[in-house]
Amino acid sequence: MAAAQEPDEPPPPEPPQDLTAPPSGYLNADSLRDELLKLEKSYGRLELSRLRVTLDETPIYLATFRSPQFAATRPEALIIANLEGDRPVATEVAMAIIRDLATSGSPWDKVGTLHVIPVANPDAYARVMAGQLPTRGAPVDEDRDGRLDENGPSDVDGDGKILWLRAPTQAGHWYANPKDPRASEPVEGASPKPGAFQLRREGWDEDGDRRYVEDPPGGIQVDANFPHLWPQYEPKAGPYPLSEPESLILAQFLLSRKKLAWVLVLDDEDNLASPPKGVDKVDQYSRDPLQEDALFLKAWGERLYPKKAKDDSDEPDPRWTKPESGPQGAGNLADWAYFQLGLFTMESAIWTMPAEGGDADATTETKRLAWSDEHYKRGAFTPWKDFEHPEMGKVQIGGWSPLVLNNPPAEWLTDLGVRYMKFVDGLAADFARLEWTEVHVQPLDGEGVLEIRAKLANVGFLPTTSAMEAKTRSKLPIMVELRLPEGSRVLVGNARSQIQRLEGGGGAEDLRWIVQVPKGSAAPVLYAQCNTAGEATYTLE
Amino acid sequence: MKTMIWQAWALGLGFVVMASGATAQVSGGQWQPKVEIPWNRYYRYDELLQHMQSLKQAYPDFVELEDIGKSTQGQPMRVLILTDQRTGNHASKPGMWVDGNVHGNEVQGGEATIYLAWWLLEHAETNPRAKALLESRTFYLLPSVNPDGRNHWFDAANTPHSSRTGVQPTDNDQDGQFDEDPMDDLDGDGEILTMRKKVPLGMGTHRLDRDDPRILVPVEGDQKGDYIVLGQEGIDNDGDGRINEDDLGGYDMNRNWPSDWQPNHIQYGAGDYPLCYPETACIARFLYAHPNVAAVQSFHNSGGMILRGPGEESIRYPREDIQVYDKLGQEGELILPFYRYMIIYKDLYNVHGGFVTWTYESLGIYSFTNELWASPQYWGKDREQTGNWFATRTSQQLEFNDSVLLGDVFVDWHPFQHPTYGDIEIGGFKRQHGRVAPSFMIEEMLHRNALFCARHAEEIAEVTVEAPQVEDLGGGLARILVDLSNSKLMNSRSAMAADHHIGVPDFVSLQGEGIQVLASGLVADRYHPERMQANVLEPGRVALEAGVPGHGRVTVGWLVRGSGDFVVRYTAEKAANREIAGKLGQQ
Repeated sequence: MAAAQEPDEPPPPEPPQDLTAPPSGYLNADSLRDELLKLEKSYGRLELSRLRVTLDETPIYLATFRSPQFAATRPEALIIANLEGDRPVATEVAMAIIRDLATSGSPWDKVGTLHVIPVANPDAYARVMAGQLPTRGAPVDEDRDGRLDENGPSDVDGDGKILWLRAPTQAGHWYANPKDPRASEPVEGASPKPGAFQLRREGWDEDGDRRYVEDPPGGIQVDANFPHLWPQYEPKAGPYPLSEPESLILAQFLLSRKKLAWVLVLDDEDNLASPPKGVDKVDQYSRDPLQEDALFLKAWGERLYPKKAKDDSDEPDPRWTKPESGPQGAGNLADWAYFQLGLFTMESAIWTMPAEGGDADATTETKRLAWSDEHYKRGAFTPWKDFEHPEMGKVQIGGWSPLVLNNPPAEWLTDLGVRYMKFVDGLAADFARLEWTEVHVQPLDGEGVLEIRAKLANVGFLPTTSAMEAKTRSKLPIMVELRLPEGSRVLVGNARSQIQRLEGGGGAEDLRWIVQVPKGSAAPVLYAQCNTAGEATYTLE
Repeated sequence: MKTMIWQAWALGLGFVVMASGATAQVSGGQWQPKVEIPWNRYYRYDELLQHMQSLKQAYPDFVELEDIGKSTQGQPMRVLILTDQRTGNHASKPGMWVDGNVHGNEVQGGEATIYLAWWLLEHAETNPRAKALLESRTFYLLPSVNPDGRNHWFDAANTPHSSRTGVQPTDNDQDGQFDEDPMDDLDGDGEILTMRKKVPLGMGTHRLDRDDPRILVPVEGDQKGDYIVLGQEGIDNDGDGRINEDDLGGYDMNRNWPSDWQPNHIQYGAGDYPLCYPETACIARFLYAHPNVAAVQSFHNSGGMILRGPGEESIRYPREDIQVYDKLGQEGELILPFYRYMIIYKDLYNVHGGFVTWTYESLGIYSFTNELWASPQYWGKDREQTGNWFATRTSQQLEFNDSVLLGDVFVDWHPFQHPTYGDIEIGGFKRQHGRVAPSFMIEEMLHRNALFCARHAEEIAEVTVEAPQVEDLGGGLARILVDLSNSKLMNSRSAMAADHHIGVPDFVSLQGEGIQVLASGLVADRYHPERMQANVLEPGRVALEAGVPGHGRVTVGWLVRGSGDFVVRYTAEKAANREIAGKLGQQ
């Protein structure tokens, strides 16, 4: 079932040296907008829309590429990137796909419609790329003191960065790894650890309650605000599902696209690098997809991550290493799209800092520090520095810069973009496709009574809908119609009927009618239509 | 050492209910209301709005009307805000939300909602408890959550059970068309009745009842039937071989609320996502903007039920709140003969995304749904004698039709030529029967349900800040203890709200110019106030996450230094704010 990787895929180029930590070299809110507008102006293929505005009155841009020939009848697909704003790499990959599709021909020209939302959370993205926290203007009273957002992080030591703060205390939950004291490791077990500290965001007690950075700006997250397993009592989930303009806009868009067959979410979770095995039953509490659908995730995952590197090297390439999936969040868009809309839903985290190699004692943190030492030359990790905090006493300030753990050096974005462009090009061939086969017409008498037998088959890779959709029934079934000339009548069978679903790779349903057609009239026509598989017409001669 | 004499006195600065000297209502039917509303019929939505307008005109100091949104067809979603504005703005008082008619055919909730306002207003001068309710509480009254569905019940032909839905076209049969095959009033009598067909003996699924041939009885065992039942009046409008399979709308706005919302394949009628309808969305916005709402009632029909959540077995309600519910529910059973206090999932059926489960589970508000009208009331008999608890036997309903209403609510079977089925008969009960009380029994139904709301509202937390007690600790230090007592049944914050950090905690603060507050906290044992869990971070203010318990009290203590006047302030989302003054002095 899995499509093989393309044989001519080149090995990844050598990584450049002296890499700078992101966001250096990345787009920002202004340059992204400017590029989209320029592409729209220069290339007719790109249709740029603005979905309604966010809390900061920024539009969510939607790039649409329609097949000139098939847009009205063929299926659609959607790529959504960067739901919390802190995955600029996802935006870069989405922009690479947009650039590619806008400027040159692609398999999509002959297939259907692809929508790309390069930034699903423009407010948080704009803040992140301006060096702030990934927040939106939706405050939460995290410390329940009746005041909103009154104590966020700040640059205590004046070095221009908001990093991390180690505050020594016996009751601390962290300690410095003896092998690499830069690494902060969690204390396991109940016994106190010498040298233990609390690991906090850099900041002050701005509201005098002896707590630090306990009520930072914003708090409601777009990707916790969708209806499936919405975590009702978590403040970050919002007061009710789709309470936020971004999540509501996205949900309404997905609901409005009746021909949508799949969604690719580029964000922190991943089901392609290590696809789930799936389960045989689902209910309203499920987190894992049905086995039948998980097989497609596996096939797609194998395309994105071929089993063996092309250069036969045993060493994993740092750019193409499988990312770690972020924790499975409740109330996220991807789960909603799959479990409630029944859409095939891929998730890619694209890149996380590799944590590989090292000796037996190496921890994720020391491995990442080693990786960072080797690859980054600037800006990734700031060594811990003693600092006399006016409120907390002697502390250390330093640690990972924002974004570095989940976004690669900008120098690698081009390669990553090419990789995903090829992957998305490959997906164009996957849609379900209807075809009439084995059509037989048999006269039963000399008076125009005919028996019509036919098979309606799905010759595409995907089934017409996911196995999950067979439960949610959120798509229209396949509509089948026998169109007869005037004066005809159906003696056996239904002129109009429905088929709920056809498997991919030749899944078919037998159909049969007995009709009476006046002599000399036009030929009857078999017609089938499916929102996720297009149309099939067959004229019975 | 100076001799210090500590004094404190209480000064109630908050709202105080004054005992009314007004005489009680004159008995013996001599009462003349200012606004005459005949409570022996049901009203179209525009008539309900007119009643609201009449109340506003007659009682301008008590009634405000606010449009909180528009229905699908553009009708105003109009809330009657009822409170004595002379004793404070509506938002400054704890409130009760009452609505009705979320299901288009469950009309009497609309009348019950307006009846509540009408009765309280008409008794504001004569009944001290009505007066106190209007002075100390706010009622937010939305007579129809589904005005479009309401009008459809009045204006279109309907069955005794149609139609629950709103009027947004919906593709119920997944054929890509919307509402294309509704029920049809074939005989043009304004009702949707039942179709039956006589077939050769042995071919049928039913036979006629031997005592009353108007009744069809399913055949059992080796009995032979000569009738088949063909459903409600209708034809195959879209030629797909099915009848009535895509009627008006086809969703349920009482499955569209955010708590435990589940999609359509799990919960029929849920809509695309929580609050996707203009009607539900505007109510949610209103309730989020009015955290003073402490009680909710949503009127439905029918079956005689006083329902509370949960709507699903896995959802647990805290014990303290169940006690509150039980007490109100048990009193409800007294107020409402023929009604039973029930738990939705356990005694009725699973409901995902229901309104009153949302208002309690997500907003922390004690909430009930009453199912108005119980058919055993036709004969005033015990449930067991009249069928089961939600329906009276058909024979007894026909007797009621024949004897008490002279045949007014049943249409006798009459022949009809059906395009698909040929010779059939049409007949059955009209929509005015079954779910709604007959006209002469309407007022009692409205009164008992409305006054159950009044009792619910009376039991909203009423917190008193009692006189500060001051203890000299020597060395310029003192301890101030203040009791907060709640004279009502409901906690000022439900345990659900406390457990899940819903809304804002109640706060008690102490402030005085010459007074330094060193520590504060809740005092669990007033004989050992030194054992209080001291908060020194923000000692002027104590957060009461669990509020003040119903018929209970909490003690708050402050360790202070200094002298002079001070004020203790209590603020709460769902109880009236209070404050009391005291003095820490030197003689």
